[in-house]
Order: sequence, then C-alpha cells, then structure tokens
Amino acid sequence: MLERRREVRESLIRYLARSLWSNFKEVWAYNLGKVSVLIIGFMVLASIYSLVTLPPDFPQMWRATDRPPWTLNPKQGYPVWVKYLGIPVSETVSYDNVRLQEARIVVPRGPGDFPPRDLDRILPEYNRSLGIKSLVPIGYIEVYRVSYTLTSNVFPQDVVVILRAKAGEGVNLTGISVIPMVFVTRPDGLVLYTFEGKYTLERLVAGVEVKMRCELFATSYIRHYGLNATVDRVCTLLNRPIFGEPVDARASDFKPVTGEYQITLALWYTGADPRVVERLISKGDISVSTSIRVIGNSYGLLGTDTKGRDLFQGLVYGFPVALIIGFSVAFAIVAIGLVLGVISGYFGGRVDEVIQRLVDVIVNIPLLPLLILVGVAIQTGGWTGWPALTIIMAVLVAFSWGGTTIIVRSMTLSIKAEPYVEAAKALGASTWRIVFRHIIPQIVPYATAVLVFSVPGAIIAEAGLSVLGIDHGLPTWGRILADAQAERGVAYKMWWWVLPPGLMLGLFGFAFVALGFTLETIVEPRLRRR
Amino acid sequence: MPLDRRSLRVIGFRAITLSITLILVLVMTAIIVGATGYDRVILSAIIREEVRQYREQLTRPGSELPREEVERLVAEYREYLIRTYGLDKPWYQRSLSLIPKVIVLDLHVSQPEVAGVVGLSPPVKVGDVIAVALPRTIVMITVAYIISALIAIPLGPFIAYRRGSTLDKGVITYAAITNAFPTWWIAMLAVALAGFYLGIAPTSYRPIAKLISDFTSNLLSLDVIGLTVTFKDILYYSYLPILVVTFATLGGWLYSARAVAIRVVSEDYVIAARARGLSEGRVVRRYVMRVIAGPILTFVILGLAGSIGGYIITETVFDWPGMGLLYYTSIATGDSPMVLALVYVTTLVYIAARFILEVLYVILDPRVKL
Repeated sequence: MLERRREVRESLIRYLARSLWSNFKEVWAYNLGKVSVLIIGFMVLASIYSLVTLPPDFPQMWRATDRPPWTLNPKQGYPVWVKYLGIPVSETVSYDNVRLQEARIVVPRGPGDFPPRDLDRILPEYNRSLGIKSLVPIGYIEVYRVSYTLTSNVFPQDVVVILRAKAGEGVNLTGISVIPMVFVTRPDGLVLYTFEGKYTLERLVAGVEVKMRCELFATSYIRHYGLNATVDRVCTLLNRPIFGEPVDARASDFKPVTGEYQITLALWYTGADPRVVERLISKGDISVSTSIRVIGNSYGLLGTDTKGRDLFQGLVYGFPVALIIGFSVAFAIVAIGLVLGVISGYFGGRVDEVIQRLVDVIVNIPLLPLLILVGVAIQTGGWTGWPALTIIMAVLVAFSWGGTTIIVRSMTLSIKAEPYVEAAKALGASTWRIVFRHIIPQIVPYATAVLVFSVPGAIIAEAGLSVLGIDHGLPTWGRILADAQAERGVAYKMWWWVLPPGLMLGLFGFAFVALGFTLETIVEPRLRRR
Repeated sequence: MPLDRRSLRVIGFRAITLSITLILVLVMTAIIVGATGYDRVILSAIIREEVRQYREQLTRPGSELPREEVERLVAEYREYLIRTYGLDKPWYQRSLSLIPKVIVLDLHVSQPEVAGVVGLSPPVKVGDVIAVALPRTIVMITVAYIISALIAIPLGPFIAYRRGSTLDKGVITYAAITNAFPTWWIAMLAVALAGFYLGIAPTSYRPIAKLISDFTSNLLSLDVIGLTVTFKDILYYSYLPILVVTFATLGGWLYSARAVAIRVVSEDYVIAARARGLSEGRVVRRYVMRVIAGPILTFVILGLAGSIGGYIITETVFDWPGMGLLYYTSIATGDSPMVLALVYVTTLVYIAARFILEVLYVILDPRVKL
C-alpha cells in the first residue's frame, strides 16, 4: 500500500515535470516566447542577486539619506562607465583599512628642537602645509598615506576620512583622545590641511567621518595665489580650491589640477602618556581602522541620485518587488475570477444573477481614484513599507477580477453543454467531480495565459501611484521615478536616474505580454478543437 | 432617431447599474476614509476653515467684542462643530455626515498651494477649483485623441492591405512598445529630452493657465494681434503634451484600426469592388472607411472615458495645471477635502462617460440588448 502510494506520488511528480518541460518547449518554439522567457529568466536571476547582495533592511537604509553609505557617495554621480563614452569624470576611490605607514613617539629632543625634527621625518607635510599655525603635534603619532590620480579635468566632490576604533575587553579608554589631521599634497606641490578637532576614543568606537575644511587653509591659499577674494568666496565650492587653481585673481572660478594627489592622514593620540598609548596599540588593546575616500563625480554601475544613493542598488531591489507584487496580484485576480466564473456559469440561477450584477458594478469602477484614496488614507494613517503596499494591492485585486469572471463564466457555459459532461452527469458523477475533472482542467490553460497577462498591471499601478506622490517607503522602480519627478529640475538632466527604472518597467510589461500572447496561441487551438 | 420602448428599457437599466456603482463607490469611499481614520483629518480641516471664517466675522472692524469674549465664542463654536460633524463619535456614524457634503461638493480647499494650481486663493470651494482644472485636462486629451483618430482611421485599411509587410510589422512593434511603457514615463523622457537637454520645449507647463485666460480675454475683446501671440504661446506650451499623448495612444489605435480593417478588406463586397477594377484609394474611401469608422469611434469614446483617470499621472509629469497636478498637489500638501472631492469627481466623470457611451451604443446599434 505504502509502496503504491509512493509510486503514485513519483509518477505525479514526473508527470508535472514533464508537462512543465513540454510547455516550456512549446513556448520556446516561438520567437516571441523565446524573448519573453529570456527576459523573465533575467529578471528572476536579478531578483536572486538582489536578495543575496542587498541587506534585509535595505528599504530603511534607502530612506536614511543623511547616513552612510549614501553620504559617502557623490551627489548626482555619473555611472562609472560613461568615461568609455568619452564623458570626462573623476573616479570615486575608497581606500579601506589603509595600512599604517609609520608610527612613533614625537617629542622635542632639547630646548631648540621645536617643532621637533622627528615630526619632519615622519610627517614632512606638516611643515610644508600652507599657513599651518595650529598645534604642533607632540606625542604618539600614526601616519597613513594613499595616492589618488586625477586624470580628467573634472573636480572630485570631496575627501572623507572614516575612523573607527576598536578596544579590547576591559581596556580603560578614559583620557585618550585622537586628533585626526588630513593633508592633501597636490601635483603642483601645494599642501592643504585640515585639523578637525579632538575625538575621545569612546566617540571613535561609534565611528567618525572627517571632511576637509576650507576655512583652515583659505587665508594662506588666497595669499599663495595673490587673490583678491574673501575666504567665503574661495570656500563657496569646497572641492574646487582643493583640487583646482583659481582662473583669475577674483577666484571667480577654478580649474582642476590633474595628476597624482597624495592624501596623508596623521592620527595624533593625546591625553595620556605616549608610551602608554604605544604599548596599548602594540598589544592590540586599541586599534583604529582608517578608510580614506576620494568622492569623485561618478559612482557605481548606474550612478547616484541627488542624495548620493546608489541607483543600481535601487534598481536591483525593484526586481524581486516587481515579481512578488506582480505574481501575487495576478494570481489572486485569476483565482477569484476562476472560482466565481465557474460558480456563476455552472450553477446559474440566482447565484449567477448576483455575481453578474456584481461584475457589472466592478467593471464600471474607475480604479485609479480609488487607489489614490486608499494610498493617501494609509499614508495619513502612518502605514509604510510592505503592509502599506499589501493594502494597496488588496484593493487592486478587489476591483480587478471582473473581466476574468466574465470570460470564465462563458467558457464554463459552453463546456457544460458538451455531450461528455452530460454523459458524466447521466452516469451519476457528482458536481465536484464534473467541476474538477471536466471543467477546471480545460479552463486552467486559458487562466494561465490571463495570469501571465495580468502580472505587469500591479507594478505599473504601483509606479503610477508613487509618481502621484503616494509614498509607501519601499525603493521600487516607481519610487525612484517619483523621486526624480519630485526633483525634476535637476533629475531630468540625469538620464541614468530617469531612464533605467522606466526601461525595466517597460521590459517587465513587454516580457509578460509577450509570454501571454505565446501561451494564448498555444492554448487557443486546443480550445477550438473542443 | 426615435427610441423604442426596448431601447429605453436598456438605457434605463444601464442608468440604474451605473447609479448603483456610483453609490457603491461613495459608500466604499466613506468606509475607506472612516476605517483608516482619514476622515478625522478631513473633518478637522473643515472645522478649522469654518472656525477661521467665524473668527473673522467676530473680529471684523466695527464689532466691539472684547478679546476674551471672541475667544470664548470661538471655542464654543468649535465644540459645536465637533459635535455636529461627529468627531466625538465612532467613524461609522461620522462618515455618513461626510457623504452628502461630498455629493454636492460643499467642501473648502484647505491648502493655498492647491487653490494656486488654478490661480485662485483661499477661501475657495473645491468645486470651483475643479471646474477650472477639469476642462484643461479634457481639452488636452481630446485634441490628442482627435489627432490619433485622424491618423489611425485612414491608415488602418492601408496597413491591412499590406499585411505581413515591413510596415505592418513596424506598426505591431510600435503598438507593443507603447503598450508596455507607461505613458507618463514617455512623458518624463520627452520633458527631459526636449525640455532639459535640447531646450526646444518648456520644462514646466504651469504658465499655460495664464495663457488660456489671456486667450479668452483677447477673444472677448476681439484683439486679433493679441490673439495670435497668445495662440502661438499656447501652442508652444501644449505641443509636447499633445505629441506625447498622441504618440502613446496612436500605437494601440493603429493596431485596432488594422484589426478591424483586416476583417473588412476580406469581405466579399470589398474584393468584388477591387475585382471590378476600382482603385485601392477609392475602395478604401468608399467601401472600407465607412464601415470601420463606427467601431473605431466607439473605441475612441471608450478610451476617452477610461483615460481621463489615467492621464492624471502624465499631467503630473508635465506639471500641466489640470486634474493631475491638482491630485498631486492635494496629496503632497495633505489637502484632504480636495482629495476626496477629486476622487468623487473623477469617478463621476468616468461613470457619466460610460453612460453616454451606453446610450450611443443603443442608438447606433439596435441589436444591442441585455
């Protein structure tokens, strides 16, 4: 008995697999089918890629525009590959966990040794800096260096140093502070600096970002170039004085200086005996990891928006969302339409009348205004993310099953009148048996085609609602386009922002309509043969 | 054409169905706004507006009421309104009081930006704002649809005669592409390309509002020179939206015109006409076009009814000061009475258009029955 059951199960699985495979082969035989299968396959792969590479809290991350990683990206950054199209861009380069170059205790070796000669040995940038007048670093000092090459005449947007400290178990950090100093040595030999301030180690454990500050070197910068301009004037666009030289004495604009830039980071530990600090560090009780990032004006495969968000990641996140929404809504619509259509067609009478009148009403309701109202209402009610989207989709389903019901009903009516159904009835087959053995199997191929046709509808509706300003908070293709629409003055000049999400929407729509057409041509002769 | 009793019955039946639909939409609206607590926001906006008007009345120059007295009266009035609108009751009792106000559009715009879309300033009733915005939307879409129809109807038979040719395949591809991409995204690309990159079209279309009113005043004062100038400006501001909507709709129309024409050109009488030696152009004009114009026009009207809702989003993209921008601004500023009124009016327009279509159906085709 058990043996037999297993056999049945196995043959069922084999049957299903074979019918899936033969359906696939039939679809593949059509050109349109091939194209659609390839596109949908690509979308499934992209969804898997998205689920694997993006963190689960990506929607929250996407909304937190004032936090890393977005703050560390260029704003309105081009895609990196545009340089192959001949568009000059500056690269964004991240030097993560920069290796320590030198570290030593710097102290004056006598009354005349100030600033100490040791400092000059490990940090020559200090004395060469334009107009440095601040504190002279004395104590335990670590030096990190990286070099960045500016090849094109385009200003990078910024230089950022990211510091994060780790402390061993039970190490007493109180008292120890770090003063990060950043020096930019330019191809023309000029050295610009930033002393940001003092950070306690506790603060560094949470992570700190240090950016270049123009006011510190601006006065001597003006003197160096003999400019007739104020500090404010020079510093209106911070990145320009760092990576460029003024075009005239009024500093009305700057032109980029190309070549190799050396960025030096010196960490000056204070507040404790340098020898104690050195011992703690050498034992590994304290370690500060440093990353230096030159923010160019290009980033990632699809660039960034005005807030520095990586549009490639946003686009990739849209794939699983589109597939999930599309399929669940289409499935729900077809399931409701199938059940109600069969009931209405097979049982007739008063049930039929009620369902038909309901369909009459449903197909006459304009969907968009209703969806807008629901969207606004749940937005006011504070719903966001998947729950909000689920409600919108539920409303979409609730008013979209009319068409399917009409078609399924008429199919059921014609199947019901077939002689073999009559024969089955005469043989005493139960209603359930007739419905499940004779009617539904004939409708299912058709229903599959309808399902495939209805997949893109939901995501297109979602995109439209987003553009109208209904924000469910998930980074979908529609949401990205809605953000572009909200900042149209800037965003419409950024093709890498407006083009890809729309293309994906169109491709998505096209693939399923094409597959639907193919399925229909496969299914239709079977229907006619009946 | 006189209507017989059966036709009247059919029309009456349709009218009842559509009325039920409208009532159902209203009830659903009430449930949606009530159950989600959105009506609380709407009613609060209404009460705020009425209290503001009341206070204005009390503090009008000439009234000698002391400050505390005014405050007391205003507070009393507010309490009274809260009770009247049922803000102290559960939502299912409260929502009902909102429905009659929506039906007669007795609501006030609560945000100045929303009234600003049509160049008015509060206090203003929602109905007045919609009355300005709705025609702008309808005119834009209608012009585009007429252009599409004028291209599609003559071209349909022409393509049908060349079935399987490159032209035919091109039309099918074109229809498939415009079907897949949302019209509002095509609009985005058009604005980006023509407006921002090439600079041959405006980037924002709000000035059209002033131009239209200038045009009307010039028309009234019979100022020919002014009329030409404003007309040229209107053309400059409207050619891109019309072009985009035409481009987006034309594909589907060509496809259906072709489908209808394919059936007609293989009819015996058309083949016989060709066999008699009549030229293709003559056959198309005399024998094909007359037959296909009817179905295509039905399709046009049906599409028009359905698309007034759909073009809301396209309008938003253009910043065209019609219904779309009104929707967008009301959602963005949280003008809840306006949102409710817009949903109602859009539904009403759609259902009215459906009804007109049903009546036309019955008049044009006596075979239509229930």
